[in-house]
Amino acid sequence: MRALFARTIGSERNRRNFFSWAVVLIWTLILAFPAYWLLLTTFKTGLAFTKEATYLPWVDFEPTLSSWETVFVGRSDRMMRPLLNSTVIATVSSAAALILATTAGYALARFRYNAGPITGNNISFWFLQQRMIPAAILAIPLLVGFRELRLLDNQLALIITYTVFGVPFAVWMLREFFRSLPVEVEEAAMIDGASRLGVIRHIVFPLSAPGIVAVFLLLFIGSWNEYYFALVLTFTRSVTVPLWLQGEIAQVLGIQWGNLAVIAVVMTLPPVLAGLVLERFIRRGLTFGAIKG
Amino acid sequence: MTQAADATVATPESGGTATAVPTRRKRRDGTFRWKLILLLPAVLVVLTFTILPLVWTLGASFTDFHLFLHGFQKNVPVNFVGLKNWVDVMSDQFFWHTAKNTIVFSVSTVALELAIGLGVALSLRNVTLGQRFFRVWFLLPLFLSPVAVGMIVGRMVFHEAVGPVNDLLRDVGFQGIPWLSQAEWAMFTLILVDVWQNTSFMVLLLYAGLLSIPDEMYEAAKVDGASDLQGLFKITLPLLAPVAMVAILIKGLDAFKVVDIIKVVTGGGPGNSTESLTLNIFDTSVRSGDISVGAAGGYILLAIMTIFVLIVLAVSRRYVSTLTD
Repeated sequence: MRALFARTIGSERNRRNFFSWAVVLIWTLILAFPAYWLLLTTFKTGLAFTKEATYLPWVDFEPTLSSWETVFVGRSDRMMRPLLNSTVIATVSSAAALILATTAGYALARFRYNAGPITGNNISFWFLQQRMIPAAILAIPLLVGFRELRLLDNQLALIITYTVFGVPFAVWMLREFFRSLPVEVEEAAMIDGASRLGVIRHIVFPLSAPGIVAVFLLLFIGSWNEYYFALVLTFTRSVTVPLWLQGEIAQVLGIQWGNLAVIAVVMTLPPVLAGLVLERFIRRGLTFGAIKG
Repeated sequence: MTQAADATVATPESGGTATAVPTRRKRRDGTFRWKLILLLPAVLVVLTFTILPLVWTLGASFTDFHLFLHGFQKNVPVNFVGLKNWVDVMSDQFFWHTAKNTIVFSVSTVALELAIGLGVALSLRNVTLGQRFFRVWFLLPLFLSPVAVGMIVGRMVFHEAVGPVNDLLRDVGFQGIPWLSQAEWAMFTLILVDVWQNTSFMVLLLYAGLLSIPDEMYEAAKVDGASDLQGLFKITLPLLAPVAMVAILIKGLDAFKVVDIIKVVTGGGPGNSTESLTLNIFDTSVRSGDISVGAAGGYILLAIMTIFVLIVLAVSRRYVSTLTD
């Protein structure tokens, strides 16, 4: 035993590998445990959650599907509304932001803008800087403005807001992406008589489809998870899933942990699936500044 | 408006130095028109919904605009009050209390995430088996909603009565820790929740940075008789510093705006001990309707964030040699 131990961790290299494996595995478990705990909670009854911590189904508690049933059958309309709101708002706003950002990103990648201090680089950087402005400042005039327009607690208010705040980061990413595409193909097509629109439709779009999909997914994840603007701009009819979930947890008594756990699972599935698709793009180097906080 | 001016004086596509001739060519192939049509919508949208609100909020911070008064009654005049709101906010103890919370939270989370992220990224490079799986797994927390993370990690795993962490602590003979009900612990719990989610961002960036360091450098160092530890301190860390600075900047700026996980995990409590600046500004401007005071507070938050950026940039200019742009 001792000899084996000495052999495994004997050399500097082995010691380093052993240590590395330990770090990676521990971090994997730290990330995994809350996910396991969440899934576990969805199969507990209210009583099983509040009495004591239990870890293994069938061993120390009897798993039931009652929470899943409550959420999907019993009170489905109560949770369907936020889910529907989130779906509509995130999809429409991401698509709108994508259209605006694709054109602008393409223009900034392919044309040269030059008017004194206002260059293409500066415009791009100006877009990027918008990320820094705190939502606490921007939400105030939006609240007042959307109130004037009678759009408070309306899906449209959040759609507009998410579109606008998705654009800057999407422009930045798409510009980088378009710049990585060879310009020669486009030039050749132009020489052959293709119009600018023809070039965009038949050459740029097909070539850049992966990047555009990736940016769409990032925009979708950002809108789907956004909390603060939803808090300021919606109250009942148009609440999104994060806002609704937070409201449920904020209750002092009688939190239905089992039901909320089911909702949390449902809520995290779309962004996680999108993330799994995205991982391919990230692996190809489409990364920096990409993830919206 | 400036953008329109910019586009009218646009120069030709590629490498033209003469000005008169390309201008004519540009008109002919319609490039000029496309430059405007493609770029302007995005610029106008951002100008309207970001710059205009910024200016509006700044203006409002010098008035007595109140949501429940001026927002509902059109005939009440809005008065100019000069720097009154700013002075009020600056001399408000509670405002600085939330500012302190925000700074403590931001600095602690970024430091912890950088340290753990560096450890994980360095270790991941040595793990040859199943690397693909670990990379995907380490990425996933980034895609989750902070509200969900706050609920799962902050409220369920750290649940004081029936959470597994306290349960295990009791099993090995300790007392349960008041993760959420005691002020000192509550801030720590919030930091842990953020670390759980956002360390992945550091891993993502630092690992990409590690991969960009050519193997030849380590081989050359080995030939010269350098140990692994020397390689780490003389090659890896200095070359990783620029990426780390970018990561600190992005993550730090996000942390200063924190509100969602606080709302979920502690609600700003116990008492007001973990309330962040954004939460404070929300309560002032939206819930109490005191738009003008909240506006001044929002700008002070922006000022604090700007100071943070300047500090990071100064540090990187001083100590990080290869930082470009």
